[in-house]
Amino acid sequence: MIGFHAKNIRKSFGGRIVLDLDLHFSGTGIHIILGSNGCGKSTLLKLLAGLIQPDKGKIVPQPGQGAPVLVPKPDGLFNSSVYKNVAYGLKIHKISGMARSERIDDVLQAVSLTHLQKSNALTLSSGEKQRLCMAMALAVQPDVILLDEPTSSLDPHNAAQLEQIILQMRQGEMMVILVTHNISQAKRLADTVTFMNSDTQAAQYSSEAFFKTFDRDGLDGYI
Amino acid sequence: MLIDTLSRAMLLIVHCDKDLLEIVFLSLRVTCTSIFIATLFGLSIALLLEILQVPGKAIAVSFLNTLTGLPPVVVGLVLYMLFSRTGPLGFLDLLYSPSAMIIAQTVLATPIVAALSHASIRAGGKCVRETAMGLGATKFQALVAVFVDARYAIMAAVAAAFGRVVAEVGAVLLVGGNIAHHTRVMTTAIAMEADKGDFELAIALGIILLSLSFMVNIIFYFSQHKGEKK
Repeated sequence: MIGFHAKNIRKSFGGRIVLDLDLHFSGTGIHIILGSNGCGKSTLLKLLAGLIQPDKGKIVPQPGQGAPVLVPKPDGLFNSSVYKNVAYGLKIHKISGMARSERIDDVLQAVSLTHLQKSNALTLSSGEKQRLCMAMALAVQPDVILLDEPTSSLDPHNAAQLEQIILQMRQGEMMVILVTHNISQAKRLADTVTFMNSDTQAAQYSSEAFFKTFDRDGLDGYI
Repeated sequence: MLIDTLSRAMLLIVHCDKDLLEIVFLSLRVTCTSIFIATLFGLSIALLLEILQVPGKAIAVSFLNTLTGLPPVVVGLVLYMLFSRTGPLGFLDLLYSPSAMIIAQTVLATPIVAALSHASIRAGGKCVRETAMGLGATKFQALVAVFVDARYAIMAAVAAAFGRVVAEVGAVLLVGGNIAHHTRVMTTAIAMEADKGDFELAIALGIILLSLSFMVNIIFYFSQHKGEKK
C-alpha cells in the first residue's frame, strides 16, 4: 500500500502560519488537492516532496515506499538538451548504461518528444516544456508523483494532452497527487479530492462524494 | 604619417618582433594566471553567498557589487604600500615583480567573477535547485546542478573580468613598475612608448590588445546568448 500521513504538520514563513493540518493520502490513483490561493497547497506538496521541512509534525510515508518525485516546473528546466534533462533524474538515482537509454527513449515516446531529444529544453514551447517536465519525473519511475498545477499555463489542446499522460499514470499503479484550481479537471481526473478551505481546514472525499456534496457554484465561491 | 606608422606596426606583428612577443606573452601570463585564481576565489565566494543563510547577506552582496567598480589605481596604491620595503608585506619582496601584478589583477577580477556569477546563480538557481531536489538530488547535488546550469553565465563573468584586467594600466604600473624584460606588459608599454613618441610599438601592441578584447567579447556574447533562458 502506498501512502502518506502528514501528521499534525505546521509550516510558517516569516512568522505567518501557512499550513497547520493533519492529512492522510493512501492508495494508488489520482488524488486531487483543491483550494483557494494561499491556502498552502503548494507548501503541502513541497513538504511531501521533502523540499522543505515542517516546523512541527512530520510526514510519515508507508514502509518500503520509494521517495516521491515532484514534477519540475518549466522555469526549472536545465539549460541543456531534452535528452540530458530526462537523464538527470536517472543519473541521480544511479541508473546507467542501457537501462538509462531505454527509459529515456520510453518516456520521450510517451510524451511525444522523441523528435526533439537533441533540442535545447529552453527553446521548447510551453506545452512541450510541460511534457518534458512530466518525462523527467516519469523516467525515475517513482511510487508517488507530485504535480503542482501542471496545466495552468497551457492551452486546451496541450492541457488535454497532459491530462492523458496523467491518466496513463493511474494505470501504472502510481500514486499521483495533483494540485489544481481547475474544477472541471478535478472532475475528469480525480479518484479522491482533498478540499482545503483554509490553511487549517481540509476535508477529504472520494471524487463521487465530493462532487455530489459541492455543486460547481458553491466551489467557485472558494476557488 | 599615420599610415606609415600603422604599416610599420603591422610589420612588427607580422615579423613576430622579439620585444613585442615578450610583452604580449608576459601580459597573457599575468592576466591568465590572475583570471584563473580570480575564478577559483570568485566562484567560492558566489557559492558561499548562495548557501549561507545569515543575517547581513544583503549587505555582503551590496559590498561585493561595490567592489566590482574598484578603481585600479587605488588597488595599485594600496598594494604598493603593502608590498613596499617598509610596508607590512615588504618582507615578501614582491614589489616590481610579475607576482605583484598577478595579485593586483586578481584583486580587481575576483569581485567581478563573484558578483556576476552570484547574480546569475541567484536568478535561476531557486527553480533549478527545486527541479533537482524534486527529482531526488541531495542538497549538494542540487547545488552542483545550479552551477552547471549557470555555466554560460559564469563563462561570461570570467570573460568580463578578463576584458577588464587585460586592459588595465594603473594597478600593474604601480606594483609592476614597467621594468623592461621583467614587468613590462602591453598596457604599460603602450603608455610608455606613446610618452616617448615611439608610436610603432605602441600601435602594434594596441592592435593586439584590441584583437584580444574583441575575441573575449565574442566569447562573452556567445556565452551570454547560450545562457539566456527563453
